[in-house]
Amino acid sequence: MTDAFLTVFNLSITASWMVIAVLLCRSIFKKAPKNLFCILWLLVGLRLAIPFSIESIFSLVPSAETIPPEIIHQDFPQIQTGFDPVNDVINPILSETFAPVPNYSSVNRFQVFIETVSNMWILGIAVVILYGIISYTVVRFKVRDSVPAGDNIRQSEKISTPFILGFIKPKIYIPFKMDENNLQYILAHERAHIKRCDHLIKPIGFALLAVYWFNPVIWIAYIFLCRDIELACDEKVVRVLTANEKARYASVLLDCSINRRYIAACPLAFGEVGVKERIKNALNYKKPVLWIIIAAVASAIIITVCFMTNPKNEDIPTPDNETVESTESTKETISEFSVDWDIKKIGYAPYLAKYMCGDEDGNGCIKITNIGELEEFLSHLGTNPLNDITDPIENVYFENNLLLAVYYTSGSGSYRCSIEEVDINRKDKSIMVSSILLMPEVFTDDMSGWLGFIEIKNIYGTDVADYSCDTKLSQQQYSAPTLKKHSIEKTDNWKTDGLKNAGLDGVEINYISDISQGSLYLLEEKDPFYVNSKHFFLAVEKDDQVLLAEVSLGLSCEYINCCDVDGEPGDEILVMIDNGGNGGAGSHSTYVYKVCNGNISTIYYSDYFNNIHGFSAKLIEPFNVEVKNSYTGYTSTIEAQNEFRNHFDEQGKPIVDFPLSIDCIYSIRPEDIDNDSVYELVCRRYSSLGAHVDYFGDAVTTLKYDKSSNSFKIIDAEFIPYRREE
Amino acid sequence: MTTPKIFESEYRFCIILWENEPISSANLAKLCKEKLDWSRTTTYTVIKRLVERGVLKNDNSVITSLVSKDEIQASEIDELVEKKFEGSLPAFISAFTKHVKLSEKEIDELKKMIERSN
Repeated sequence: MTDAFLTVFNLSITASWMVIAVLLCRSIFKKAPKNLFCILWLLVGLRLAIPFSIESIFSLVPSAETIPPEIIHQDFPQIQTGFDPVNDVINPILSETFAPVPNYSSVNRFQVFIETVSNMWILGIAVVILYGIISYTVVRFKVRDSVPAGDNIRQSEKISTPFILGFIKPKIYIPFKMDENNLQYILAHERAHIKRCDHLIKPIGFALLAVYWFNPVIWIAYIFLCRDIELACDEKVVRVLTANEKARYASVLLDCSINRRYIAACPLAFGEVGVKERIKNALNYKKPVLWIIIAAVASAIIITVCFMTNPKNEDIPTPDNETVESTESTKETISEFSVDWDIKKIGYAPYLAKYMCGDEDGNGCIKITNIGELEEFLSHLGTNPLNDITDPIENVYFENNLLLAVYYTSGSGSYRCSIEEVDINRKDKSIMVSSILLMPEVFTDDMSGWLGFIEIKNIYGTDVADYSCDTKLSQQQYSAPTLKKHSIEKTDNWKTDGLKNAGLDGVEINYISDISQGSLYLLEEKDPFYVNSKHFFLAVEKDDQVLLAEVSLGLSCEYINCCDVDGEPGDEILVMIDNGGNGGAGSHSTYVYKVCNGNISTIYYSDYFNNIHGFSAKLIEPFNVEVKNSYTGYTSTIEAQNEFRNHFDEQGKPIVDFPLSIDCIYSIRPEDIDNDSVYELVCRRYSSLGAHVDYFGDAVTTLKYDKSSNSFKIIDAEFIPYRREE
Repeated sequence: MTTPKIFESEYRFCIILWENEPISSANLAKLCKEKLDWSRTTTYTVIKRLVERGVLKNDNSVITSLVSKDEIQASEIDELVEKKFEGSLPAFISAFTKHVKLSEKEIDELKKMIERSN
């Protein structure tokens, strides 16, 4: 239905140009035979009736597709009126008004708008057609007791002016008290109508008017069509009359003129339209001069060629299903993915950076076909992309359909999430890579503590789905925060002087345990400079050196443990720090450090923002929440209880799709699930559905260390709904 | 009693009735379809109208006229003379004879008619 409406809308705009041209021609060539204009109106009708046309270079139509059909799928709808100044005014307004709403809703607002308008259009058609049918029926009913008065003619005392009624066997209806002399003119006129098939043309025109009711130009065209029909019939009659007879004809016109204020599809009443013009025309009728006829016909031909054909489709590339790199006509040349990334940082503002691939003309775009390439691309941004917040990066081209969820922050500590659907026909080739989820170190003034990660998920609605290349979402790589580490000489008084010399003064030293790499200590700042939080450090004491590493700021260390998670030599240390804040659920930073051969590094990091878990939820009827995990394919349907039923209406239909909000890990426990003598990490997170305060349940993921990628993979997922004790 | 008024199309209907009465409404409708191209419902509506006006009566679907052609014609003339000749019959006759060419035969017939009516 929207497709039909868009076609009709575009056609009406195209035809409107033709109507204006015909009106212009009509006003220039007043003396031309009116028959010509009737033909032109027929051509206009043809244009309106036939949805396609041939393309020609002579076409004066500004745009054959003002509203492109694919517009309903665009996030930023754009129209093409054929006039750049007009486009430049309208399109930004459209983009603003119908910009995708930055939440998990997948509804395209422009699509909804167009669907509403389409329905109104159908309603309008029904109304107009109904009006036509009713007015026809009324007249038919009125003259049902008319009596025959000659072949094709009927008389009725109920009518005051002659007219024609009927489509297949049209009949002329005349009143009773009509002067014989007048009658002959009238009959001549009406017979001319029948001969010209006007009794069919007018209703067809009216039918077209019903379809195009929303366009006032088409109404004007119909009115002028009716006028020109009458004038043409007048001309046919008057052509053979003497001057006296012409005057008689004009006076008959006057006698029969009726004050009709409405437009009817039929009947073809004698005194219906434009009587004044007709009288003038009849009185002044002279056989038209030959050159006028020629000129008028010539312009008619020109109008036909220029407005019945469509403009050639040069500038608007039609997207194929083939890969784009083939054709020369597309503006951009896409270069293959290569190692030599020419990415320049072209602008910088505090907390903002802008990147561009290639040059301003669109040469040297980067093509990305899968997640790995995207990750690689992102890793090439700046020295540490995660320390920058970026504006859209331009000229990145996505081969397959990828959906990105990118998060970015305004720098004040809050974050926003933007979902972009990228598809092969995408004209707006930029992505928001904001370094996503930069969480400012709440407790520092300088920006050295900025952390962040890029999460790339496939989100449509609230489902996490597979990419088009059909691979399951692979574990994300991320950059852990730079680990500030130190190594000091192990002396007898390293715990006092040694640390002091290293600048770690005033710390409380807590012995944790002996690990293979030495003795493990947790250091806490004793009198923190900041009100609540303090610095934490790990110390591994062995042989002749003490390895120090700084853990994040926090209120307290909730958990610290050492266990083998990778089956390799060395120790892995789990640390969970309470960052404080973030509402009742609290915020934790979870680390896994590896200590080996005198070196310490971070092999896992997760906090409130850096939170890869793969869970998503969807509200489904009735009163159910379907929770999925994209890494493991886990699905579970949970019945919403208590306050969560507010997300549904009385019948159990979801009112709004609330996203599942998963907090940071609040509990991490090593467990050997698969009995391979290597520990897996069971992480639990609080979740809420909708408002952050409503505890919905625990999202549990089990992480297993993967040697090949040096990262943890989610091997198991489970969602444990929270059930209140009644 | 004043003669009921009959309109032009009704008059044509009445002609059919006068020529064929008494006649069943069904047959009358058939005739009207033939001669006037009226649908059955139209005929019945007209019958009903005329019954109400007292022009004809409907006895068990048999239609007979209550007013004769003569009476209608006379009533028309009366109205014509009233309206257009200020009630003066001579004025009407004078206008009539002035504008209508009469043959010898017709004049004779007229003379006889006038004598007869007196």
